[in-house]
Amino acid sequence: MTRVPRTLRRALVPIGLIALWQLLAETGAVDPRITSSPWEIVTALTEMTRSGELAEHMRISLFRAVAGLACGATLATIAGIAAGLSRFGEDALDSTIQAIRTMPYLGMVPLFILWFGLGEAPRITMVALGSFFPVYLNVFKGIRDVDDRLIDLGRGYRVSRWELIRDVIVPGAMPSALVGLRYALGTAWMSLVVAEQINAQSGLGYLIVQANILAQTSIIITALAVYAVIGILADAIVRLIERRALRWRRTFEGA
Amino acid sequence: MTDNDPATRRTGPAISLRGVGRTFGDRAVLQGVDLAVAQHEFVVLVGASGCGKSTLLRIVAGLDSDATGEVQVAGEHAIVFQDARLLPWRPVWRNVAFGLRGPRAELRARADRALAEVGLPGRGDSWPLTLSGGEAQRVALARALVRTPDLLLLDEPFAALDALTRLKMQRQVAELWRHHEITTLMVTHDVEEALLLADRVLLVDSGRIAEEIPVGLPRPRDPRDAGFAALRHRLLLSLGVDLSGDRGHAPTRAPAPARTRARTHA
Repeated sequence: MTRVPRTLRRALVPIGLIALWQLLAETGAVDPRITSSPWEIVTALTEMTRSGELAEHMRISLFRAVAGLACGATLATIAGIAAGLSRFGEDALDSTIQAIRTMPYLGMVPLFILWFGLGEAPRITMVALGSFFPVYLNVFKGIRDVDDRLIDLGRGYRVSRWELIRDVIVPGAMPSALVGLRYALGTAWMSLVVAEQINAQSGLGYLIVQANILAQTSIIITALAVYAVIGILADAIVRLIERRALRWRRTFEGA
Repeated sequence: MTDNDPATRRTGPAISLRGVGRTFGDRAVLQGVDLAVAQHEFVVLVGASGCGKSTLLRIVAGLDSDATGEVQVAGEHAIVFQDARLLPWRPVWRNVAFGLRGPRAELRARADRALAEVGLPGRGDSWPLTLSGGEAQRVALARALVRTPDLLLLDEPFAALDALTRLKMQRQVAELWRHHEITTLMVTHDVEEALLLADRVLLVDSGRIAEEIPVGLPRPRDPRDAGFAALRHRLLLSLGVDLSGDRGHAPTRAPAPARTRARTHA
């Protein structure tokens, strides 16, 4: 057993489950009208890939996710820095943002459509809103968690406010901020699925809704799998950024 | 608060405090403190925990904006804290050059020189979290020295180090002080350390400077020296520790018995 490579050992359970699933579908133990077999899913995937349908929906979904995330994370970083750096900023922003955060924004899609029309705006807004809160909360917390003694050091060495922010506060808040970004990727992606299922003409969420109407479970599962793969890739990218930006900590962990 | 007039910088006292006070809530931590430190002088403040000595140092460093009284400090100062306070996300040389402006290559060269001076040559690219406590504190010392300050402020800089490292660092500070002729104000609760380094020891008690003890011993100093022992005895007595008839063998009466032992071995 120990001779088997680790990657293979870790793949053992998922592969086994898929094989079992296929077996159950073959024997008729699971109803093909409710759940497609793995083979049907692979077929659907190749079909959709060949027709270019999948790529087109993926492209539009990715665009919405990236645009929404960029808007949300940028605004959240600015707000988090403003609230984190000054009491005035905190008093001005924090309670309002916390109040809005308690609203179930996923339920606001109909309102967004009313406000922003039928174009891309309501969906991008949803994604932006979904990614805003995790980034804001973690940037704010990251700044407030910066070691007080390092601020004292900065004053002791008479550095300017700008230098203090650049050399002490921003790098100090970075680990927390990046955790926020990773959370935001998850919530952004989730918001997108919901947003694309309401009144959309394209995107992976739309694909799911269409397939649902036509009872094409293989397409639903394919779309979900594509969501998952993209989510994993996005997380890997942030982890890569983390490794580079926090390498001072990596070295320590490796010691 | 800081007097940067070049004329004062050369001739006047390095530090001049008059009637300095500080209260936290309704507790007076310092009251009516007068202090004058001459250029190139090494002055050490000793006292029990909570006597106000660290607060006094922070006032001199300009880190306490709520102090009352008159504070004049000539020239630039640099401070070393009890904890090294390195930025973990900046490599060592960046920490040394913290707050300095200029071309990168020049800053790097200055930082490397300062690191070599404190006995850490070639460590500029290390990450702070990979350093030992003593090394980190040496980087903090290099960070203070690299800006060639007129005044060096040391706030219990060796208190968190192990006994052997502390001994080495004390020697190093004595060396650096002699070499740079830099006015130094240090806070410690270690009587022996104070006597090893100081021109003058000031005893702080209940927010006042209670006693002034000039240390006229020749340098480098030896704790086994008779004059040294006599001064230590006097200083300890003033701090409320009576060692007469018993040279620190009773652990309950010596302030830090383990430390004393390590020192005699070194």
